[in-house]
Amino acid sequence: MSPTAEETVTVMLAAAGITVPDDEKAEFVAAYPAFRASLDALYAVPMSHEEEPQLIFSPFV
Amino acid sequence: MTATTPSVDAAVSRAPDGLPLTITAAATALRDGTLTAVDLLAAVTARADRLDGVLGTYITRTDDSAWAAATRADEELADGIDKGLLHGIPLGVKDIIATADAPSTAQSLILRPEFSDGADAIVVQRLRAAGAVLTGKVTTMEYAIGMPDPSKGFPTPRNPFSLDHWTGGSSSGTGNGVAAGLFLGGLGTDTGGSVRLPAAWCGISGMKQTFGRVPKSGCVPLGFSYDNIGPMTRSARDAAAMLAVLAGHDESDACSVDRPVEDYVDALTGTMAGLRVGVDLSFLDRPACSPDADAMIRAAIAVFIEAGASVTEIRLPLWDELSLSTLAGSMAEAFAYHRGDMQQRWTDYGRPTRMTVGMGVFATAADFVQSQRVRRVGVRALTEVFSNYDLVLTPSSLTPALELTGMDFDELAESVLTMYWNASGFPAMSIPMGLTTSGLPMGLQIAGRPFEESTVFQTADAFQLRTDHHLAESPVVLGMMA
Repeated sequence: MSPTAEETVTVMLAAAGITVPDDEKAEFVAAYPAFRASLDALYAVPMSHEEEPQLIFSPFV
Repeated sequence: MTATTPSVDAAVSRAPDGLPLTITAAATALRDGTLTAVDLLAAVTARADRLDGVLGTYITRTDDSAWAAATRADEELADGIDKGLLHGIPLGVKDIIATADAPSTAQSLILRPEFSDGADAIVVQRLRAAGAVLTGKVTTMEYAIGMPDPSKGFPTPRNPFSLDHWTGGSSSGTGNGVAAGLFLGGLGTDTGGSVRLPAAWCGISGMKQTFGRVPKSGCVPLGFSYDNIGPMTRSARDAAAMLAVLAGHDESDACSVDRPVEDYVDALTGTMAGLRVGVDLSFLDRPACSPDADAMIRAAIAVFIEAGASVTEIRLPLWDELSLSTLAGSMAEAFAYHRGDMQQRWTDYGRPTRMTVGMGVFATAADFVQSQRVRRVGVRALTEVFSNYDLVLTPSSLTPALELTGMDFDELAESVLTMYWNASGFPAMSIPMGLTTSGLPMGLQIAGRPFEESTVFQTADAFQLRTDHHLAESPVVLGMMA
């Protein structure tokens, strides 16, 4: 069974070491499903399976 | 169709109090003996003394160093030392960009005082070398993100055309300061539209040039791969003069690109003849779109056609996806920068900032990489678009400035049409396209090919030679100065 938005938000905030007041956590929980859906939509953009990211590593600084 | 004859002469435009409206007008007056840099500084200082408490433009004024710079500019010009169009011109600096003569706060309680270490950012060094008179550090949204938040003791920037409305952000003080004549140009930064949105909503011109064109060392980062420091001025000609000074490689910025800098002012031919322009009008169908936007952009298109451009309606590819790539990607990058401080000092951040940057927690590493893959696909698709068109037009936003009371981030995100170009890195500029029926400015966004800022400036300048939207003075400001 998939975790709820509240469970996911709770775990991800804890993993990041972020503590927020209850009202702000509730705001994150409310916003999370739409944010997650929009991120998922990025995986639906047609592209080569081997497409590179636009940020390219360089061994020089 | 025959192009119309340009008729708007910004070189002689002055406000009722005698203040030249543009850098170009002031530069002309400084050289024909009708104005000194000290008198010019006195004029903008008088406006600041009168208006700043209402508009919320400055965080720190640097009057002493400004007077010294203006005096030096007069002496140099009298001695025949001419450093170019910015010599003796008063400019403001967004308070996330380091200057040696003032603290940098990022409009936040968080930023460490040693951030700028008493040194000028590269762009500030270049402005000073060009003889500019820097008048101070101006308001931003906290860390160049979020919305107005009076809870931390910083000024709330207000729109010169309606004090009940926001300037747009995050380069808020640069936007309202230029529009109200507290200085004639300034530096903003643009990660998702923070130069172009306040330019649009305050009725001025703002350029987000190609990513990497201007070194951003000495600027507090927001989204490392999306950030740009850009010029904000009344006219496109003035912005071209500023970018000519700001642009150029510097090895202190890993993203800085080593390519020759064009003479942007010399490229202003006054014509659009032969230019192929695509315009995406699909945004006008969105529910949030202002009823004024349709007529305003169609009137702007008519000017383009009269000036010799061929204009074709197009549909830009991957609009929502690239816009989201900017939002999610920059928030992930911002959270990486802020994570330690947010763990320790969450409530010292203003709520709009912490709730926006905090969303970066919820983008996984894979999501971030995927957003960068989408950027690559988007750049490829846009390269194809620009094989058929020299420029692309959209409105800069769907609405004019939002009211300060009751505004929320969703409403803001729905209005802005700027984030797309940060994902691609292509240059995009906002110029004024008139006032709504309620008297608020709206902007026209002109995007071009990478490193072809000259074509964007050429077109914007040709538009402004045929219109006077960029010279509109706020009745509110004029009333307060009367």
